[in-house]
Amino acid sequence: MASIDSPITHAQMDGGAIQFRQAFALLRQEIMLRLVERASLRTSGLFAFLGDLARSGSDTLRSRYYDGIGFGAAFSSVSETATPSLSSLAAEVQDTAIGRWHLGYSQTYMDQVLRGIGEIGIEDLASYMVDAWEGTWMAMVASTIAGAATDLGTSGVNYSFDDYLSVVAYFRTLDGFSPVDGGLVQLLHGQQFVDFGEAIRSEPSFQLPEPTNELLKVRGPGYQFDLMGITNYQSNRVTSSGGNRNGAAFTSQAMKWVLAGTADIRVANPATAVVVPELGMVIELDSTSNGATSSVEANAFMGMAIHDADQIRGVVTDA
Amino acid sequence: MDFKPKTVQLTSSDGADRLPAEPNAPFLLQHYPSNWFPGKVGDQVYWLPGFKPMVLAGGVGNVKPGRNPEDGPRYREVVDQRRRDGWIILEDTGEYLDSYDCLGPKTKRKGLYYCERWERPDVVAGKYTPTRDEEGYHRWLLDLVESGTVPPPHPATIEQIQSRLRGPLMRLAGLAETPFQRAKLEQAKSIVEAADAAQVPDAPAPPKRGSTSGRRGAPAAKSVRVESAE
Repeated sequence: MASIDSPITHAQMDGGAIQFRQAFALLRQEIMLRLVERASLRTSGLFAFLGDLARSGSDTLRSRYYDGIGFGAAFSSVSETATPSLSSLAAEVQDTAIGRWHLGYSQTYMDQVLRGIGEIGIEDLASYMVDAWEGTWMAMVASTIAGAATDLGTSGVNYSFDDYLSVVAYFRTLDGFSPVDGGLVQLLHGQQFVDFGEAIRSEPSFQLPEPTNELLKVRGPGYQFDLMGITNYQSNRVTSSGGNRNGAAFTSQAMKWVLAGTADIRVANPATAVVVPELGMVIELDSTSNGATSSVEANAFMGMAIHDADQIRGVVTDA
Repeated sequence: MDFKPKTVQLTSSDGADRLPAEPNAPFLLQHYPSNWFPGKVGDQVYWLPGFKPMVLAGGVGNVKPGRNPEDGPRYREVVDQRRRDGWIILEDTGEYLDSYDCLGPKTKRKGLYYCERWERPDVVAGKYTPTRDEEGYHRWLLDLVESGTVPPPHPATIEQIQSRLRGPLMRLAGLAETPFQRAKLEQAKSIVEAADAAQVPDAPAPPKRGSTSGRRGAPAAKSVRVESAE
């Protein structure tokens, strides 16, 4: 046993061999989370949701696209008695396949019994699964945009205002592009926005304090600003490779996603399972008496793919 | 009776031997014919192919999950389709893909961190701070073209990229009043100079194929004579 000298001080009680004093945020009886990106573009209207594959018989949704009809067709000028040939259509298919996504945690019976107020438990972990799903959905977006066929920006060179103008120029000249159909978005890593801020400091057009402040203002992940018809979003989930950040500019028709609703899954314990068919997710609580452990596991079924390579351009600049 | 001791090898479970990086999915490197950049190899600047990752995770870009626990993701169909679309995909990941045991600094998930071979892992003050072997990467890209794995760029592609790189030069030339703007102009000039000086790597000659029926490349023009009916 340790000796406590008079006067009894906090220093003796808190330090050394005793360490009686351990304050774990007892005044706030909630779980506090560390700083992590919480942005998601799922409900922004920028990613077309194609539907639910539940009961479809396939893990892949095949979409058909046609060209050479409507505004894509043209009449030919012919002579009075000509017998012109008939026109053709163009048709192609694009697939979107789902994958299985999983997240799980476990906790021993002993920890569940002994845990104090404000400490995390299995039920708490289950309640955070939807947030984890949203974060995974954004990570899926970041991985998908890295597959854009053609890039703007220059490998190994910081993002510049001219790269921004290249994006504007490309979509301005893209046949059929219309901002009315859902807008034009640029999704970049935070570092790319930092480089953009550096670049516009020397631009005469942005030397007034109000517009410069709006463009350079530190915001959290998500919406940043609108400039020249492009809505800019930031996510630090944007991937890196080859020494570059793989951002992208795209329209709402460039990428599409699907899920498989989980209402038909037969779980072992229906009373403790949470089925979220609109996210294609099922969350189950389980336990193993032999190992004295409880677990919470979520399975989700979703997928995303690029459907129109012309409506997306990689914005690849130095990391 | 002699008792022989067993050798005890303790390993810490606190992840000290793991990279402080979040686990990620493996990937293939893919190149689209319009993606080239001027890169230095030794003293010379070459047009080098830009590669991007094709992430091998079920649900991303039509890659499907493996059927059994020991299977990797199924990506054969996606690779075949992309090749038909003009992509060049390097399936021999032994040439460029490394993996490290990792422990996510935020999530504490254990797994594998996949990265390109030229990403040199380093840990500074507990944070994953990689460095890059840019020279080695550029040399490997050059080898891909010189060996014929990646066809050299089309001249029109190079012209397009050079034209896009010249845009900032023309725009900044009229704006260079402050030292910062002049520095930006110098940077733009050096990028354009590198692009103008960049050489297209020597590639092996393509194999000769039978007759020149016009099946590859642009079709032959037909002479047209239009006459008025009057």
